[in-house]
Amino acid sequence: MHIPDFLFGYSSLGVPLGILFWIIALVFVVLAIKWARNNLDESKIPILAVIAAGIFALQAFNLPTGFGVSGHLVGGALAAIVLGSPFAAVFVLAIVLVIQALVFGDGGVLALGANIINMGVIAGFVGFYSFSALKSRVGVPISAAVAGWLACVIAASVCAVEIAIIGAVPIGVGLPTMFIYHALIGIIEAIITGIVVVLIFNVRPELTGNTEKKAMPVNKFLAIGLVIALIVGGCAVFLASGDPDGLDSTLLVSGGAKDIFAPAHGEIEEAHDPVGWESPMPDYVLGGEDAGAVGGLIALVIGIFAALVVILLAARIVYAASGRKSS
Amino acid sequence: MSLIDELFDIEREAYRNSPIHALDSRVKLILCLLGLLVTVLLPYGTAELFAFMVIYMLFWGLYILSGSSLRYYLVRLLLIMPFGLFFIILQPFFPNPYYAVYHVAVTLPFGVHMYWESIIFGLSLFAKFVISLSFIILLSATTTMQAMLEGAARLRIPRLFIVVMGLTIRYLYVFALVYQKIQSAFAARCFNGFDRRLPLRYRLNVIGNAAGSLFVRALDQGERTYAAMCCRGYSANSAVFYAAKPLHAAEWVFFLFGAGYLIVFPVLVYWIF
Repeated sequence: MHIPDFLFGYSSLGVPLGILFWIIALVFVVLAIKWARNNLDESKIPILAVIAAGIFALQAFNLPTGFGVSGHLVGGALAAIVLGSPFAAVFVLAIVLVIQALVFGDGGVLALGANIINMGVIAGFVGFYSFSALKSRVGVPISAAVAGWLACVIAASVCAVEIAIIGAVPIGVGLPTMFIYHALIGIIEAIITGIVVVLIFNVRPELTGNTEKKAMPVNKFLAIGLVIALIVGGCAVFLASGDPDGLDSTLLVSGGAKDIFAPAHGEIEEAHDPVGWESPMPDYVLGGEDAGAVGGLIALVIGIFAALVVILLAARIVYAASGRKSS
Repeated sequence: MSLIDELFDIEREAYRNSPIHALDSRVKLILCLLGLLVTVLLPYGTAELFAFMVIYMLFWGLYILSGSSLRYYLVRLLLIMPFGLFFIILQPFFPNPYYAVYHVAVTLPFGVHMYWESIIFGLSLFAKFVISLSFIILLSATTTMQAMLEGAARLRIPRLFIVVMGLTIRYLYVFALVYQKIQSAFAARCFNGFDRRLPLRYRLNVIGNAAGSLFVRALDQGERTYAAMCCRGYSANSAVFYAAKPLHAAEWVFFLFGAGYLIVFPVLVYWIF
């Protein structure tokens, strides 16, 4: 479910959307930090940090799905249920995802916002509230399992919607695929979440009470509602532009696409023209009548190599000056 | 192999010495993010392929200088790929909106077609994928997590975030070891989560309990750590001190030329092609 960076390269709107997801995610991370300051006595934030390391290790367990495929725990619902707040999940998963993106390359850096929204915010909130709604009716194990399944499936569906908004995979293809795949993986996540929650509630019964905490303060509720409304509204704007073509043309990139095939078929519509910045001189062809192109090319190649030499030399000088110590 | 096993390999690699390892982590962080951004931003077209080559050359120049092995690069690349590949492999099967005309390359049963244009588009995505991952691999192979954190602190990332990340990174290794102990315990008892001779229910139960005990250990460790920190004078307003560290002149040159390279050459490639 970790969205990689390259998916944001589909359209000219990809990067602005990536930044928008970042901003939404940051709003939730800030809310989570505020929650931690207000609800954990005397800034017990270090505890959450250590639990983030624990969740990271937990994700390493390969789970047999019974179909020969393996999946692993996401842990958003689990963190929210055990720590007694969806904000705990946002906090913990945000830390885990930053490390995964920067150190492991699992999930992109530009995509980090979207990933925190899916696996931290959506999974955390869905997991926590479905657990607290069901707990008194069906008991802890079943409600934890259902919460785990819902968190996994809904987060994956939102992920598919985001990918469709970016323009990477049409919603008609992405949503069913992600839904079916994660509905199966989710069963395993559900069972493991159920077992882990029961075990923790048995070993550390003092945690049980946490899930029945006070209702959310009105202003916080409003802020969250507003953000969710913005997300839904944003999706609606893109989807409401009608049929898939409407969505697609909103997100149209095409870039230099026409350069490849236009000469051969001459049927590319002008509507597919790139947005100005994408290719300053789209019709300029190498080896054309203009001999200046060759000169420019040679200069460019020399320039590239010269710059490479300077960059690598500078690195060597730093190394020599640093007395061969890594920083 | 999971991320946990990779954790130790990455750190071992990051603690080696080389010109790239010796660079200030701020320079590496910013250049890596810039490289990613430029790669992602490149619009689709013929010129893009050359611009990719230019960016990829910078990566290889730096990677070779860092002295890391080709094998290390390939193994890490392969480990990260699966989820992204899923999107790329889907590409050839549907006409995306980026072309007006489509040519069927292969017709499969049930009316499924593969399109030439979409195959080429998928390949371009694949290039973006590989290059953006390469920069992350280069960053993490040449910079320790603590160095990245110090760099982030010097770049004025909020204090609270640095404190929390610092703790998480330290305990990552503790829990990686706990995880490995659990795996050894499984192995010592001949338990394998993928052993089909055991009922699935039993296997999941064992794994679930192991995962639960790991979580409980994390909770306990968190409380112990917090108590220990309080004993040593931690409070809500404490911060870790990172001394100011001005960049070496050559580091400035490296940074400015690196950033210039990443911005100017892809643009120039567009001008010429």
